[in-house]
Amino acid sequence: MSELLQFSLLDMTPYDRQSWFNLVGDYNQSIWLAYPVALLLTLALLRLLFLPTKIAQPQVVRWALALLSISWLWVGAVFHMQYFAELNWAAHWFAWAFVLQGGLLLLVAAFIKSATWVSLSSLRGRLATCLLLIGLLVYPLSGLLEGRRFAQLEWFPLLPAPVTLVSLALVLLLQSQWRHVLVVVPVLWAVVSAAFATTLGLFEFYFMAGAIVLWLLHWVIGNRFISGVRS
Amino acid sequence: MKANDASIALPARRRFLKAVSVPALLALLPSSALAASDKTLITKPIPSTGEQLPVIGMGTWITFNVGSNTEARNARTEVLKTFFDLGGSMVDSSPMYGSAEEVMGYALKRLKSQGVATEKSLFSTTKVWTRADGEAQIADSYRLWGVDEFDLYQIHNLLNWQDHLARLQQLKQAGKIRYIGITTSHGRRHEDLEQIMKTQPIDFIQLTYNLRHREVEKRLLPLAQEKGIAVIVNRPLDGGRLFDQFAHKPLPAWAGEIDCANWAQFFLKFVVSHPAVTCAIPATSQIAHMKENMGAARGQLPDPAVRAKMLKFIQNS
Repeated sequence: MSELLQFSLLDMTPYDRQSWFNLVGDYNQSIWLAYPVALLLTLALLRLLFLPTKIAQPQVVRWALALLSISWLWVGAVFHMQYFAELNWAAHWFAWAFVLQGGLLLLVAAFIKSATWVSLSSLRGRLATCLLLIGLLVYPLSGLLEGRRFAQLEWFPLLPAPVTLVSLALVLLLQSQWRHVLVVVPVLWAVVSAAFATTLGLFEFYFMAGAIVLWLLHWVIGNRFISGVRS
Repeated sequence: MKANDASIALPARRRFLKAVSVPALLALLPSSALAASDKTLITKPIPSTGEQLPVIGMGTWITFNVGSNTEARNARTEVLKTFFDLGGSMVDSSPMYGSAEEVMGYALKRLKSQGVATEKSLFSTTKVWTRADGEAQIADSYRLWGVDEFDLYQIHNLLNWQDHLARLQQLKQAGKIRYIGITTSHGRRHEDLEQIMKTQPIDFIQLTYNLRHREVEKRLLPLAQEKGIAVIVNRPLDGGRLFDQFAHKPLPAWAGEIDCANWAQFFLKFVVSHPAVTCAIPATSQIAHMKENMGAARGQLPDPAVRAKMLKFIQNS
């Protein structure tokens, strides 16, 4: 890790935006079989968040975190390790960070006992829903305004930026002390991601910066954001 | 060194091809002849051997890091072909540049398959960049480029330089490397580089120098001249920032007197006309830009008075 810290941001961005778009496009094309599974995972997550179920809420939270862990593990082990590493020598470190977060989510999902979501109608709940919508739709589609082809768009749960945005949304919803642990890697990645986006001139910067500001606001203001817990 | 074992005999043939290459033949001409014709490629000698190098080389930072995308790889191959067609020779890369070495290997192989005699033109330059031993990374670079010998092997950003220098010296003795160098960029670790230049037997240094960053004029460039060390300049266009500042402005009328038809040639000729500088390695992914860059290797180079005029113009703009 000390090796990582001696380099400037420019050193860690040895590619241009077109090469990034091409990489995402080639990745999407080569893993196209994973997309139906990705869609099912996304729908299952939305189902757990927004539709009433017979399962007790702590169980719902555990299932949602377990599903989210799959996205972090996939992005770390597949995208960073096998694809992004082609362009960026630092991708192996990023891969480990994503796998770590995936493992952490799995552990919390396995052992958390009393977690719930905050009410979706609370301010925090509404902000989290907005962030979720941004991660699932607005951010991916914004790529079209950057000159990407449709095949080069970044979708949840297969690429780092939407996975980060959706994760921050879920952690914002989570009513448990664990959220302070689960937010560390997503916020750190949002910072790294925003920095890369700055050097490449991508919209991603605004999404990541906005998500970080949102999280900091919620952290500073704390409980005033919460108007109720769903039961 | 698994990639080299099968081809121990090749370097001698390669040296012969280099001996009859254009830069080498140009070296036989008197220096006045080099400046007299705007058709003539400008070369400078490597101090340790006298071998001539064209003053404009090619970097691969960012521009050749295009991964596996075939369309982008083929486009970079055309950029490399243009570089060779226009008399270019030194191509510089590094394991730090993502897939750039692999893409370079792809481009060289593709050009060979098209009948381009790359071995006549190429002055291959790469670097070792690891805190670890370096043996595996060096073997990878030979494999990725598809070469049996590197013309120049450098230690990237002084990283673990003591260990790597010993290994590179062994490779030089074994005929796998012709020259050894050490690099820095963005003005970092100049004091360390100065110490190495004073105490170690190196052929090349690589550093950042351009119209906006001229710190190296004070100590490192004079020291290189004194010690007979060749100088490669990275970021001669300041990573494109010089264009951001000047591209919308007209060239001064007197730029034509030093055969500058565009800003790229203006910026590059300032750099390579410094007496200590051997060559500059601008990077580009565009054929049109490559043509502009290579134009800086022809015609007149500015003398000290014109260099001062160029600097004053930039500083006052």
